[in-house]
Amino acid sequence: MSFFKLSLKNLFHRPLSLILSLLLFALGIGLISLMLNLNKQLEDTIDRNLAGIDLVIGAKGSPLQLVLCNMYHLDNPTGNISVEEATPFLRPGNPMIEWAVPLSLGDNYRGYRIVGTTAEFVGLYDATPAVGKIWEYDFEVTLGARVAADLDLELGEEFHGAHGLAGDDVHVHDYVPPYVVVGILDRTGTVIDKLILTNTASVWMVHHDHDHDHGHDHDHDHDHDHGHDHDHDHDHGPGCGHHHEFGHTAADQEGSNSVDFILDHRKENITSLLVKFRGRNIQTLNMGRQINENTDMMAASPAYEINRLFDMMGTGMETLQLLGWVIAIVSGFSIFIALFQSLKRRRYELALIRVMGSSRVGLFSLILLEGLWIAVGGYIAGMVLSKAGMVAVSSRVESGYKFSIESLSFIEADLWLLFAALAIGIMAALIPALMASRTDIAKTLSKK
Amino acid sequence: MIQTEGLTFSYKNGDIMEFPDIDCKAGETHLILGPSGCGKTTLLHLMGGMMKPNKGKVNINNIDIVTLSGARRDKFRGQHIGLVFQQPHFVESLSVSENLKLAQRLAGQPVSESKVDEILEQLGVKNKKNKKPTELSAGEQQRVTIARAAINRPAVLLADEPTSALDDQNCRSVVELLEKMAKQNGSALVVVTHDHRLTDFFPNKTILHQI
Repeated sequence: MSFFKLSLKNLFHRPLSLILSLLLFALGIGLISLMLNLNKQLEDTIDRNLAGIDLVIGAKGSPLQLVLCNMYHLDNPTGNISVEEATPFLRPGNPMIEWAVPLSLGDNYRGYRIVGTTAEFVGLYDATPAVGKIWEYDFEVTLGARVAADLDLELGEEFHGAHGLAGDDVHVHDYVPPYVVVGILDRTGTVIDKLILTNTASVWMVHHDHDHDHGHDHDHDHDHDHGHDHDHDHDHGPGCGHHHEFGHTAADQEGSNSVDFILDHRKENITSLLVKFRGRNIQTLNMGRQINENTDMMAASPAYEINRLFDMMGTGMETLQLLGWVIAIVSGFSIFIALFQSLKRRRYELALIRVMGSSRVGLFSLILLEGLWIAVGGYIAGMVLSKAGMVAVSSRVESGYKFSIESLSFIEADLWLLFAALAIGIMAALIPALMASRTDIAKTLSKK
Repeated sequence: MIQTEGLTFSYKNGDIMEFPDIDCKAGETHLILGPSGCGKTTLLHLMGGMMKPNKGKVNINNIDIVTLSGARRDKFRGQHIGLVFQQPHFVESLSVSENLKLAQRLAGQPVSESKVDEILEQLGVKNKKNKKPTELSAGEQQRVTIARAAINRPAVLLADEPTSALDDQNCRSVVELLEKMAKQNGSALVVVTHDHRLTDFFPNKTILHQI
């Protein structure tokens, strides 16, 4: 019968008091851990998806919306911008810009966004094809890992996109050729996992076919070989594949995937540009403001907008975390009170333990152990609560936003929380343990 | 064996008490009789190393326990002194047999289930071994405290008013069991009491008087 076992037996001897202490402790620790984990996962998710992007340029509206829509693919687009407007930033050779990647949104397939972009986009997220290849020709798509897994799509399968960004399939673009899966990316843990990627021309074609309001692009002649079919019955802008026939030869479509191709279609629209600065200086710092002031476009800095978002959410999370600490400290008091009261009840017992040969240190450690067991037990129960909470949150995030977050991983803060729990347990038990160690055997036992 | 020499103790109120020397050899018995408030419990606590005297010696197996430091005295008590009190005290959360095993462990003895069974058998409470002490009758509880005091075969068995809460029948059997345990283990048995029913049982007596 070691003191380890004895201290446990003592605790289980008063099960209701034990349950109350454990429950309070677990709630406190669980709430703190849940908040820390959520915060960490949120930050990780956001950081993973920053992808080196310094500026998002799109249509005027809410800058936060612009960032959420074009970087995290959560919100709706603020609108479109014309290639002409975007040209100064999209065109290679701008001394302030290292790269700029155009995005064209507007369609989805069963809830997964179809994004028209250039092959550079894949590089932003360090993704490589697990099978197949990056899209090359019109209506070829490369799927994010998650899309392929969730929708059970394989190489060579075909599908039609539907208008809009939600998966309600009210309007299916079945008057254009279907998209063909030519590649599936490996899993990156970033936003690209949930996207269906194709070239910008395909997105244009889908919408022009439907809307018939494609801007005819007469600003350029056909001296550049972007592989457009010239046997249309009217002369519409390149990329607007009204009667865009499939079975183009590779040579026909050469370059339809490139920035040059997009720049050639000045009247077309894109949704946004993701921009990386070349170095940081006054000019790049002012670029956003200049765009906002001097153009019909809007520029938003992801770092700034995300910080703003965190500030807004942070207050709520901090409050909950604080509440967790309050509960944890209250539970510390409940341990203290439970032990303190048990000392009175058990004074003969403690004297007896000394009569049987235990030293003062022995009694001290016995009571301290009782406090520590509650702390350790409460911590474990708290972790179970926290992880259960994370699983619940992550399943909602998964189904709602198609972001996967780690729900069962332990973070460094969980370890710190263990130390905090032990500290609370020790502090709560310290005074009762000291009092126990001062038990005067003779005095206690001579009281009848 | 236990032997006291010139023990004096000063109470907080300044009263100084001088105790007669007690000498009880292994296997012998000694009764210390006196009315309430005569200091007999103090004497027992001095003999058990639970209080320190002003002056004097308490020799147990030729070791003066007054000179031992706190933790060593605690350990010595656990190993060599068995104590029985008027009120039977137990560790509430433990069963009868677990209480005895705790006594073995705290004394630094190997924990032996068969020893526990044997002594409970001798004291007629083996059928209660898995019960919580609070579920036992007063007589049974006192038997278990005797078992606990005797389980480590102590050099000295000290009993403080072991019978005053018991009826005549239980009183008699508790004295008999104490003597039996002392004889069997070669312990010196010292009983402190105001219970005159015990005078006939013990040939060696010291009588304390009210100060």
